[in-house]
Amino acid sequence: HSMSLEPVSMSGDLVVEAPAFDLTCLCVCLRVFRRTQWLHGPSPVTTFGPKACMLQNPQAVMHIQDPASQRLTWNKPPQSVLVIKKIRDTALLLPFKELCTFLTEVKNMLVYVEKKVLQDPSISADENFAAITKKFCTFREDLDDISNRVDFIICLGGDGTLLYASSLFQESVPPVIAFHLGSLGFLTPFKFDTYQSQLTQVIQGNAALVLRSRLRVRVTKGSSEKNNGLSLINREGEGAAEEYQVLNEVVVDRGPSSYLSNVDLFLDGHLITTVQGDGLIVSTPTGSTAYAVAAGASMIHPNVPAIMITPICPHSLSFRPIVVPAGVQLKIMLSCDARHTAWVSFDGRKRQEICHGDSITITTSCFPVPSICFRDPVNDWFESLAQCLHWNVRKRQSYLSPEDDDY
Amino acid sequence: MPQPSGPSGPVLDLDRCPVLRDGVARSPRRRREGKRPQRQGGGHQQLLREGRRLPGQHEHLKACGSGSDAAESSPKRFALRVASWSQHIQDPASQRLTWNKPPVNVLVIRKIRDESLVEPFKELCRFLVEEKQMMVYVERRVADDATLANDETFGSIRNQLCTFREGYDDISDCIDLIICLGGDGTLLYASSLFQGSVPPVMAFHLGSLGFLTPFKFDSYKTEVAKVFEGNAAITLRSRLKVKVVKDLLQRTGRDQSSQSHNGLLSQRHTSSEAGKVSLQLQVLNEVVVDRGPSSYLSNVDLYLDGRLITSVQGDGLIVSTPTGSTAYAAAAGASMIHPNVPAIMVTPICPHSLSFRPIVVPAGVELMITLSPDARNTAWVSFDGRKRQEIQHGDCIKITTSCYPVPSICCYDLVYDWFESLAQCLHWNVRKRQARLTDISDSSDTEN
Repeated sequence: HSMSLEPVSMSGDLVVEAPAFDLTCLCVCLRVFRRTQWLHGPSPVTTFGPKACMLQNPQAVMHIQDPASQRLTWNKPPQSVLVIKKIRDTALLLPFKELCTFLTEVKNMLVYVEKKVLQDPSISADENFAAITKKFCTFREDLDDISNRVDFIICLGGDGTLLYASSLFQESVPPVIAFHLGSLGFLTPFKFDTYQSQLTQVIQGNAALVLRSRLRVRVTKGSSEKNNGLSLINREGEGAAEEYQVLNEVVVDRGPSSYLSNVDLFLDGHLITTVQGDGLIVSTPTGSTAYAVAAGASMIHPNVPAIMITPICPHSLSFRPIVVPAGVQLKIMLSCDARHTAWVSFDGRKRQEICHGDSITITTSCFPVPSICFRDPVNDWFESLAQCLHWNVRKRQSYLSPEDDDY
Repeated sequence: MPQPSGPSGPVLDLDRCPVLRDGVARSPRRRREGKRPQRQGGGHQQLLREGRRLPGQHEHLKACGSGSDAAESSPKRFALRVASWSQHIQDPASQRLTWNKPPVNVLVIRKIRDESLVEPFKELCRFLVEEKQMMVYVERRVADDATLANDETFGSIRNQLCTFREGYDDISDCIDLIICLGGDGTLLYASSLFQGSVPPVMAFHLGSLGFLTPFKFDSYKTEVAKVFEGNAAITLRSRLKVKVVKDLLQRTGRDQSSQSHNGLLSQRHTSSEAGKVSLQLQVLNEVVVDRGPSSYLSNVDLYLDGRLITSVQGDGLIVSTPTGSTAYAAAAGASMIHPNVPAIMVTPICPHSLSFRPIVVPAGVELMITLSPDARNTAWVSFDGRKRQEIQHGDCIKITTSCYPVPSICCYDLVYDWFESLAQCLHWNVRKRQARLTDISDSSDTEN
């Protein structure tokens, strides 16, 4: 049962269909919900009282599209598709083959796969599948750049496939449709059973999108000098720099050292705090339901433009996670007093050491990951909260009829 | 020109192509040869030169039919549909106050039962009336304060004050600027007086720094003068628009006669009142729904954009603005949100559940709270701690973001002010600092 999310009227109201439970009559009825505001909230009235107003600054005006009305459309029909599947999962072999056969023979798509996928003997040695295998385009991760050759991406089997897809595209990302085969995932809203009709819809250009923001992270090696083995001079910003796009989070931790990590956190140039403990997580709203939630953060909907900062086991009674606007610039450096180096990783990968004088700069990327929604960004997210994390699921307290005692 | 969105909804702009970043279509075609190339420094400088945009970087969206991609071999890039709604907003980091006409009427709010505020209040009024020739408004109880009445030297100023009575006189169109003295509560009070557009608010602390009171009273003369000049930095603190609708769902719970609370029967509403909006308020901190004096768990259903998302069983629920995230919600375990993040925070109060983490939802959603049909008792709702009332079966509370924020004047800037208040008010992450090791060995782990 796919729901149509086309706006019903052109007068400016966006209509969203959502199932709702009416407990008194115990049936599922479709309620039409008329949204009256942008998902980001209404434009604030910029007159304040009878005499004051906002100074208009045309150079600092942003033009934002309402996330609730973002839909996919194609300039030209898509022709090439990247299929990503988890490599060591045998349950995915058959679905993978079915999918590729459908894409190649029914939809006449050019299918790209990573080379290692074909090294699996269950695929390479399958004679019935050989005709399809021959038509594959392969690429080698880290060696071949496919960023301008793929029109959309299909992910099979788990949130990790989406992180992998994100890592392959360090700039603009093609739309991603992600299927789960076992249970619903956070980033995999589509059930594989109905893949044929779902893909047909997507190829026709009929889908809602959620733009999952990413973080743009740059690691700059400082040039630190040692004089006679004594203390280091932290001179930052002179060394080489590497950049990464991150969909979930950047984690800075104490690595194998048993000392507390001791990192300074700067926001827009101000030192805002020092993190002493196991480490720090800087995450996107998408990542707020990943490692950050384990560290005690609140969960942020992907359409809220924000960055979440969460400490990992801080040795402090007062370090509550904070949520800052998406446009700030964060910087993390080892504190001068730090007893040991720290380690940083990006979506769990490319782990490297951070020494005195090195700095990690984080801002929101202008290249989000466009995830195709099953229903819409709001419904999909609450569905995954319920299914994946059993958010607020408990035995329901029963009704008390007047004859019962006070217990 | 100001562009209020108004209740008629967003304007559909069909002429506009999908957004081009800075008017130029970008076509990144970097080819990686061998290994990943180093990103040019120019990219980062570009970012800084364009200025940071607080709600988030402008997303990169390929234009449809962009000339540079006309070649046949170009990728079939996706684009966002042309006829989608968009809005213009001023980047929060560069929001500044300006005056259409010079301000004349100033509302001064001070906490009434605080003796230490009497002298500063008198000084301020004298300054505004005599040096700045302003018309100063105060609430009647403030003007009638005994200590003021007994001060003969203040008599001439006191006679020039305009007074109003809260709840009787409507001053919402008469005030050009609000000055608050002494505590975050004064700002909540100011917000309650203005259910529509709110004049700019300048808030002073006299003791320690408050969350909503960034200015130190010592330097009030220079600070106030600067504000009159215009060009002060402001933070638009979003508010929630809350409606209480009586008997909307025509529900009576399972048993009509069981609407009892501690043995007292509560009144049922007549059908003529069904669906009536009994209260509409603007809220700066939060809406709290709790179990009141009942010892039963509260049992409320939470709907978002028409969809039931969860039931809250426990002491209650807080729906707060980012401003309110450092108030009651922080006590209930929520993360703290900067006032410029467009969001609504939903936090449970002592939920009887192991898995009810607070959530942050986009500011444009519509929330609705009703008593669960299974609820054993009624619930109580309050708005910034005031106007507390009972919620019965069939009633509902609807919450959206208001288009009337409270424009708070910043002392330094909106980032610095907030972190300063986190540090001063909540001692955020303050601990004894671990000392450095005296002998440095920075390679392998040493013995403990």
